[in-house]
Amino acid sequence: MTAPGSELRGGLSIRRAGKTYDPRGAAVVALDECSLNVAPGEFAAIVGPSGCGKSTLLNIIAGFDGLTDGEILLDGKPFANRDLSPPPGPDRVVVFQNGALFPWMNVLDNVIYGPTRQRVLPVDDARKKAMEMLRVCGGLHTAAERFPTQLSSGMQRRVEIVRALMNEPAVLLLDEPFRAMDTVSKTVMHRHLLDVHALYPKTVLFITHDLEEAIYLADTVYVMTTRPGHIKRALRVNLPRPRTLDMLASQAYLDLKRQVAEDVHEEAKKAFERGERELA
Amino acid sequence: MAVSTPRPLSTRINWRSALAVSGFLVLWELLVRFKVPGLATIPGPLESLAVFWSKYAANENYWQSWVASFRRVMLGFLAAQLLGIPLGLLLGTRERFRELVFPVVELLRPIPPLAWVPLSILFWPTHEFSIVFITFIGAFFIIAINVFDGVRSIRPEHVWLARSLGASDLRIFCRIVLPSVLPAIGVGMTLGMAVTWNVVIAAEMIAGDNGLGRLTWEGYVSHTSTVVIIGMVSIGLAGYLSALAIAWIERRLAPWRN
Amino acid sequence: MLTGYALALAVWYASVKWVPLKAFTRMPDPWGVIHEWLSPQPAYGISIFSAAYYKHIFASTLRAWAAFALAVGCGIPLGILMGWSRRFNAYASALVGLLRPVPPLAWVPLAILLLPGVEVAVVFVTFLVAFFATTLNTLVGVQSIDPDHIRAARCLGASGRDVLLDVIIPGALPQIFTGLQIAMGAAWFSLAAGEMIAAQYGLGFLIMDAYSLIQYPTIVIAMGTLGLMGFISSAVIREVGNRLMRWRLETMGVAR
Repeated sequence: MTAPGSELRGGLSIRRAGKTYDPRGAAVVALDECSLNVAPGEFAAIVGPSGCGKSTLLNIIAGFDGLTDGEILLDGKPFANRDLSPPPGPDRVVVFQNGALFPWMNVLDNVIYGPTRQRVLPVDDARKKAMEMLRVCGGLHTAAERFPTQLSSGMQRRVEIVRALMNEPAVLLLDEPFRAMDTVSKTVMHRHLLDVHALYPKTVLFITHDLEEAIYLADTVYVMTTRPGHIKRALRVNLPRPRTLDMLASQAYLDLKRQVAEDVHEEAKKAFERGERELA
Repeated sequence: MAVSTPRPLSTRINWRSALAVSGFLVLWELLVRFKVPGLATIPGPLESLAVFWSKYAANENYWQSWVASFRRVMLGFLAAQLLGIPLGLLLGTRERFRELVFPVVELLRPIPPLAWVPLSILFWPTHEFSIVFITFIGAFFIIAINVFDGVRSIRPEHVWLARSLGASDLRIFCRIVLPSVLPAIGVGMTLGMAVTWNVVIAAEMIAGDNGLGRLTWEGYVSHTSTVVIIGMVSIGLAGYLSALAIAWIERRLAPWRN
Repeated sequence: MLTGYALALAVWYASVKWVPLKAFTRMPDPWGVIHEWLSPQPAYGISIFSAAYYKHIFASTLRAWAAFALAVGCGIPLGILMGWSRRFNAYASALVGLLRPVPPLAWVPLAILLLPGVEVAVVFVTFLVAFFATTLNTLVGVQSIDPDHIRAARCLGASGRDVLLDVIIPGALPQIFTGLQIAMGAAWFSLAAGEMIAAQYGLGFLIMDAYSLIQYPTIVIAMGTLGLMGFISSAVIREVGNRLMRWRLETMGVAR
């Protein structure tokens, strides 16, 4: 649990971010004049077709890549620009699309990996905290001794989210985490993520290609164009929290969807006609 | 938003390879020049090249060794493919056959091909035959096992689809099984070729009367280390050329793989 | 499975005894070999009861494992380094590519000339073979690690060293062990040849010796023993791998 009275961190200010791969060769422009603002504690979703650059943006924030143009501010301080590329760190932990739990460690060891490696917590304390978080987040503590590949993908994702939260990150970055899951499991995961977010409020940046998922989960939905990516529209989702399943059939939800569906569809069509393989 | 064809990565790192190789040659030459202990007996690259140019490049016997070794390699390799591929296919497709034969194959496989030399000499009428047989043994097990693995990894959905479309067993075999194992055959050939050269050289050293291995061995026996170097470089070159040829074949066998 | 062996033995026996070609009748027959192998008073001095037999086995096994240990000690770090650093890989790959086409056994004469003594030369050539196999497979293992695992570790605060120990090595371990098994097989193969060409004792030497002394059953005994030692060595490595990679077995449902 975040200590009572602690400030929410992780406000992101992305100003005209640009990313060009191989500038002297193929010059592939992944991001161009991309701007958006995420308030601390806000749950922001970025929707766009495959290969539009949304993962690139996430990678840059996470520290796996660098900007070639524009700047990013984290909590008001310059965080990334053309000359500044911060390394990855526990203040911006990523939950990956295909899951990145270490297969050779069991669930508990995976979850305590962050705090113990950073020497922020001694192993025993880390274990206690981990077991508590696992228990709270859907009774996962029973799987503590199991190996990731013995778990279903839904449980793996849940464990990975706990592993991320153990580090008290400023920003939680989720890169299409439920993409590979079937629709039924997805609805369960959505509920789970919302519950966890209520318990451990953090700034969240959630990447997806699924508009419905984005509206259901987020406070703000940003629509990104196809490559080169920039933000086409921002949509404030003023559905009340906690979100419930029946909201998916509500008029308010459908109105919201109608506002951006056209834009999303247009970009998706462009990307489809391009037919190119996605950028990593 | 220009999208031009990117410069291939290979030209950007080739200078490093060239640097490494020339560094190696320079080091070798220097170590010999300065009579570093232990290396006093062998010639440097320049001397070897000089001797090669004057005595071997135009020497018919030298090129005959190439021919002799290559012939053994090709005969043994070809025989291994002709017998090994069907064996692999049989092991993969016929359960009874596999039950009977696979354990025996697994028992014989760990025996190093060269260990077969004496029996081979006893059995075959001529020396040539016995060396080719050894070469054959080396590549035979490799290709058989690779084809066997290839058959086992055929996706059953492909076979089911063919059956549901009314294909006979023979058609399934020709149109699905065979093409599916082509990549495995390619891999088996590549691995087999490397082993084949290794075996031919050693067999020639032990029991041959001509060929590149024999040449190298004679250099050793007569304490002419220059010949040893020349022999080794020749063998390396021959092996490299064979590997190139096999790589070309492998690409033709399975062009859909990159 | 046993029927297969029985059938093979029968074919062997039949071909030696009944095929009227000299080529076949010259061969030793299965019973002769087995009888010799198991007899307390072997006609040619080598059986499971003779000390000389075990001396040869010991010599070969020692060489094989010594060469293998050295190859592993050099090959795994080198493979990891090559997989880790693109720059280093560019240099190293060129050198490896240069030396690789030379069949390892072609090194035997040069090795004998350069190194002190036949023993060292034979072990060196065996080492070379195992070294290449180990390095290449380690390299493949490192290169095939899911980059997301490395990224995840970095996010979680892992230093370079942590990534190496916590992600690279465990991640590459399955492929490394495949390489080790191949390396062990290749080591025995090379060792046999090296011993046959230039050694004074060991199983490879025994084969050539028996051949020159016209002790044919012994040839087969030595061949079989070579195969057996190679097989046992690979099995040992596989077992060690299974122990180290418990997690693989458990997930495949064969945990003990």
